[in-house]
Amino acid sequence: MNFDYCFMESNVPATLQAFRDRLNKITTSESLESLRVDYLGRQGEINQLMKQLPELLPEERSQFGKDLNALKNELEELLETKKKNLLIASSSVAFFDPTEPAIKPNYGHLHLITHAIREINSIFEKIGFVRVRHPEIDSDYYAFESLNMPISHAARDEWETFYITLPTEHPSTMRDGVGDNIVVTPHTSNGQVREMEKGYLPIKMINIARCGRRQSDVSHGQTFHQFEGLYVDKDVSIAHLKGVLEYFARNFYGPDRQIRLRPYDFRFTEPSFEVDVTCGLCGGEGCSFCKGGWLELGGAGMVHPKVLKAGGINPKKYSGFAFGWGVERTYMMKAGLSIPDIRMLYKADLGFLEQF
Amino acid sequence: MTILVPDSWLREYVNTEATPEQIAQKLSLCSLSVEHIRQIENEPVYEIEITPNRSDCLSIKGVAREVAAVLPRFGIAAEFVNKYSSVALDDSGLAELDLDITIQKESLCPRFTAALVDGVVIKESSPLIQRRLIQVGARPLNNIIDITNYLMFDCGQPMHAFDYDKITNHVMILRQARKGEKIVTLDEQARLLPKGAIVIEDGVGRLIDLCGIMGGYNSAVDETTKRVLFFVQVYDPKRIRQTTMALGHRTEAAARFEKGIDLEGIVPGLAQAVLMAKDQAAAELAACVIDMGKKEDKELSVVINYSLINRVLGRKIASEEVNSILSDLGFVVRDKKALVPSWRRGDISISEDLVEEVARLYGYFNIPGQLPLAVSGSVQEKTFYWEDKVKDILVAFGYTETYSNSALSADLLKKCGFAPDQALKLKNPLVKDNEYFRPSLLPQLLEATSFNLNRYDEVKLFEVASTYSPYPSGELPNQPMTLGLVWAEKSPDLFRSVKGEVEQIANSLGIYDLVWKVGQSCLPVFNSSQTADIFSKEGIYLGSIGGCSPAVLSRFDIKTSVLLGQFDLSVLTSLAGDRFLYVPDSIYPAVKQDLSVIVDENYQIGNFFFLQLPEESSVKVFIEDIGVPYRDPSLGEGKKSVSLKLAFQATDHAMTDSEANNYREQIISKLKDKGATIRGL
Repeated sequence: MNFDYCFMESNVPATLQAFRDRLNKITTSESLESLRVDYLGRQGEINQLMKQLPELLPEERSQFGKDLNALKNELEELLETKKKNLLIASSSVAFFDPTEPAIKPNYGHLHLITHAIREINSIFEKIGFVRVRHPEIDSDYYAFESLNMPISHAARDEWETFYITLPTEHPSTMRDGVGDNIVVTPHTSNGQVREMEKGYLPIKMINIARCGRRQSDVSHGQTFHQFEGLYVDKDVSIAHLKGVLEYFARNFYGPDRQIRLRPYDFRFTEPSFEVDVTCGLCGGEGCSFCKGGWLELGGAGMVHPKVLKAGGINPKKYSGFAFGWGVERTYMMKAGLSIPDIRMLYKADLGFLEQF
Repeated sequence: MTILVPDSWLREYVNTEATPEQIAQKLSLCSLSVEHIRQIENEPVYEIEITPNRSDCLSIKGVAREVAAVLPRFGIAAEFVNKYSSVALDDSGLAELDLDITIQKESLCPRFTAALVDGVVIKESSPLIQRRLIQVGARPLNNIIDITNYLMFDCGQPMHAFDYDKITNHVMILRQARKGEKIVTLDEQARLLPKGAIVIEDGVGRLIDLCGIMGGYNSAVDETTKRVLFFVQVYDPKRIRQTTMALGHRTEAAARFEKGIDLEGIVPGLAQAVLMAKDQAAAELAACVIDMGKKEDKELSVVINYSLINRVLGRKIASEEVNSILSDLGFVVRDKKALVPSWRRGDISISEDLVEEVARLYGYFNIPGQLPLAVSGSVQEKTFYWEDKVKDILVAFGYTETYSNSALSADLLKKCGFAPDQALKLKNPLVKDNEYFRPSLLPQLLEATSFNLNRYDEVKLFEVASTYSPYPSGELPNQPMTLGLVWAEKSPDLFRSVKGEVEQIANSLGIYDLVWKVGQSCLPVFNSSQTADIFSKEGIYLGSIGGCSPAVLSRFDIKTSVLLGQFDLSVLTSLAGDRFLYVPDSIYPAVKQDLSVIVDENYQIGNFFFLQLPEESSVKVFIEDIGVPYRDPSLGEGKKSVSLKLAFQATDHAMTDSEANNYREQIISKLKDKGATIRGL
């Protein structure tokens, strides 16, 4: 560019040079903006030079105008380049901190019991058990009588059952002259005869429901859940029961875990068993947490012929097995979960609930 | 119940080289659960759980029988020794026992035996007897009382010792207690007897024994006693049980009587008592022994169903092995039948019972597991799938799930405006706080909200569980699966947010076009003027959402806004279905326009969605959304303005503005018919 104006000496080149000097020192977009205002703003250098236009000779004015315009374009170009460079510089210099706290999504929590029920159900579902539901408040016919537990029998005390106050005008629930009480089911076994009464075979059900018993301590709540398995078919054997329980234990507790059956006594099964699983802490060696390497899981047995009869099934043709265990207890026995009081599950404390 | 069995005492009945650990382990696998081996008085003592069907094992002798049957199955030699089988009393030449006995009703006491000893010197028992009583958890008292306790633990036969000279006129009338009668028992407790308790009255009408449970204080053996009447009976087990339950007092003796007694153990037991009295108290038999009533049970044979045994075990067991197992357990096997030993008549009566005997001794550990491959004859109800889905969506909306007790207190019900007398009531609550079965999930959700607001600014909770109401029609209480939810936050307008959540949940269940009405029949815990009842398009009631009653909020000291919801989940899941419909999307863009409409304040703006819109094949006209109402004096008194987002779309061409305007004019005319005015027109 040739700024060869005798009367203004080197005003235009000087302006350009001064601009370059300031530009080189700029490191922030704020000072870049103030540089822009100083040169290209309303009161800026370019406009100040423009004001000199009337003072020029008429033949010089056209050239001066062109030069001034070129100067303005050059300044704008320089500013734009500098702006881009500043932007690149700023993004590569600003500190990226991955430890900044997250913005938490608004996500709730399923309850531990729901987690447990889903896991239990999914295991039995894979081996063909169909989930069912039966009344939680039921007649004592289904809760006891039909399960070979007549009212006079001592076994019935042990269930610590809640009874419901009946209104005076209450339709009878009697069957064969028994079962006129309404109870909070102390176990899910009331579903056994109810399921048989549906009239289909084979039965392969898993009944998971709320139960209630008159007891409350660190390992028992008045409200708790049980899961009840019932399989009725031709030629059902203890081997089948063991097969199913082994499958459950390996899937629920881990592939190395084993189960064993010990003789026990329940009115609605014959024979009856207590089921143990090898201890997860000592691996079956025996430790202070278990009994000689084994932990008690719960009860099971072969369905008593009287129960099959109550459900309208011929015990000479069909047989079955059943088991009914506490959901909370079974889940608490998983390694790693040490909840000191089972009743904590029923206190809606978010500090607790948000951990699951 | 659990019993304690000292190792050396056990070994008096069974000869074996087995270690205590072996005994505990093998017994647990095939018979009784040995819970622990304890060390008491420097000796291993087994703590054994006895199930209700095995009352025959409530003694050292009973446990020993099992040990002797089980150990050989593991190749460990063991032999049962029947200690007292040769013990017999010789009362020849003695006078008849002077005791005038009346048994009012034979069923009260089917067997009555007694023996009198004279010359008793009351003192401490021998160290061995004292030590053993301590080991089994009993307290040594004196040589006579200790004999009765010792023999009860030893062979399972409870017995009593009277001071013969305290039985006035030597008269005993055994009868049922009358209402209001009292007795002071050995432990010096005065007990009010329930009607039907078995008692003995002496010659002057004093009650001297609460039979089967505890003796009377007035006839008790003391340090001056010279003549002792040993008393061994069988009582009606049901009455003993009912009496102990009514009194709330179960003794070791009662626990055995109520399960039934081995009739064949009675005479040996009585004889052993007399022999021990001679040994421990220098006493001699002084009169003929009394033995009245039923001497033995009818013989009981049970058919051995070999094929049933094979079927239940899932494998073939040779009949010889079956027979040998049953013989080891004391059964007499002949002609495919098993004669039940006297001590097992309480629990063995059908072929299935024998299966258990064979199976447990054969060893459950010897039966390999086998997965049954049969498929259920029913199909899976989808209810559970839908419930899971609802829960998952709620969690995604930020709600946390709770589980609460099914029962709650009258106080909590009242706090939430519920009348306790409308709720299902327990006859026998454990504590007063849990007397009612909940008619709603909201009281406990509010309680939880109030608790959690101490630590959290915002609380979103839900619970899925049954609620209960007494007998609307059928035999059983109504107990539908219910969904309750609560959202507490500072923001005052939660209604539209929860409405959106509810619609999303319904849509995910394939339920569309919910109908929202001002709440009519909502629960008392709601603020009725700010509650909506929600119906399916067919008019089925699904639930309600709305603000919480201010009175209830103040009782819980909750200061934030609270929105509550309760739904009959059983209805929702019954209406649910996979209703996925595919509607091809138009490739031509929609024309979108806004329209501001002024309506009366009390006009329900959701009705705009149900406006009859112009219908033409290949053209869709719809209201996409309705804005938040805007209120301003310039609109006029009692008026509000809302903006409607209109959309016009053709499936076969790009909609032109003039076409769209034509439809818009049709909509405007419909709106005017409804009494709306259009802003800007």
